[in-house]
Amino acid sequence: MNVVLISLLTMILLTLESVLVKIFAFEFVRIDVVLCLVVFAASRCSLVSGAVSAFLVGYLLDVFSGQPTWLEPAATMLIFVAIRLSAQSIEARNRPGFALFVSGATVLHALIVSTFTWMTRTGPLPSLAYVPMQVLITALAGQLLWPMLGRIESGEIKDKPSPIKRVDP
Amino acid sequence: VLAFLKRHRDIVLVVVLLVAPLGRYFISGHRGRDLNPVDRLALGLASPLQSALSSFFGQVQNGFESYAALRGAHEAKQLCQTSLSQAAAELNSLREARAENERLKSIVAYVEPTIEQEIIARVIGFNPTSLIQSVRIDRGENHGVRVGMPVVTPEGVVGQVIRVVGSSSDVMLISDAQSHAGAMVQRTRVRATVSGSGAGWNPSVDLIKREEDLQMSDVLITAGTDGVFPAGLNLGKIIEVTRPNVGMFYLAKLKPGVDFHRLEEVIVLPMTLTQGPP
Repeated sequence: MNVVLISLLTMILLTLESVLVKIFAFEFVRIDVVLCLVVFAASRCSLVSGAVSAFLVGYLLDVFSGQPTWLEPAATMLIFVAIRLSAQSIEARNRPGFALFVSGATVLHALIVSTFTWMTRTGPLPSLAYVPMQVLITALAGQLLWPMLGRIESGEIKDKPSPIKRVDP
Repeated sequence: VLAFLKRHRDIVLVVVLLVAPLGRYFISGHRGRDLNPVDRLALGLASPLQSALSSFFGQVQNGFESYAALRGAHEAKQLCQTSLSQAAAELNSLREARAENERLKSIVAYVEPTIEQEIIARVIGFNPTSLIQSVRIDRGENHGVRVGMPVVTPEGVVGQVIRVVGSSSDVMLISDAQSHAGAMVQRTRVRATVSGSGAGWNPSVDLIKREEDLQMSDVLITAGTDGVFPAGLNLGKIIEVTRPNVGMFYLAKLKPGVDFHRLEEVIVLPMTLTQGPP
């Protein structure tokens, strides 16, 4: 269920973002809002549904990018693994923790995309000068999404059967 | 092996989801892949929503701008009247030039290239990733748009169609790092190449020899030598020019004639126009 919800949300957010980038006339800065969903999938979903969700987020981002190359699914999966491992030692289930992870994911995404592009393409590479601004607005977008993500998570908890057996008196 | 895979199937799934796209990316590199039915479905679903949202936000923005514009309407009117008088004078001299041009053409038996139907399209969104500088337009293969077609506005060159689905297309801007266009300095007729710099909307101007004459505010037009853009379209103005102490060529930046911030409607040109005059 989470996979479907996250995929739908990704499509809506990407559509909205593509229009907002035009309205606000951003030159290179992008709101990496779908990375919030990857952080959510890594820190608050089960391993399988989180991994599939992260892959689908990357896949859709790739499709929306205009020139799909499989770079985005690879990047979102790398971010998923990094956050999944880090979330074992740093709390990501509260607002500040989530904001921290979203910021880290934005930086990591920019670095992965630049490095892989540098490895496979000749000519000038996209500048990284826009990353600090991108981190700021993506973290802000993450905070706006926080209540909705909380609802998705509570839906998942409700769907799961309780591991504690009920004992009738 | 099967028992191991069964026991660790969750981890195996994660590894497959990570390695598969990574492998595909390194095999196909930056060339990109063809769209499959899933991609087409996703883009087909998003396109009407994008169009509706773009229209809605556009109307809201126009409303605010119209209100703001009213505040300086009187001064703007006077400015317009002055500009109109100047334009009328300029138009008159252009008419003279055209008449002369027609006479000269008839002397040298110049044949106009056949002009196919141009396609007017609306920009409905920007690329949500910064890796590629592209915009989405609301005309696709259903309307006759094909990959490789040049896209322009009356102000100049916008870019080139790089992907087409049913009712939408993606247009790579001339500022994208992968974009190259054959250019010519309008004043001196010196050839150059305009390439996206990857660090902003101002492309760089390459391959102009340091012996040539290049100045600030020189206008660059398309040369028609790249097989994409027809000759004579406005590319922009030189805003930065340096003659380095070493090296053969100038280092220059171009301010595109088109303001990408305010891109609303564009014209998709048929590919036959890219063949220059005989």
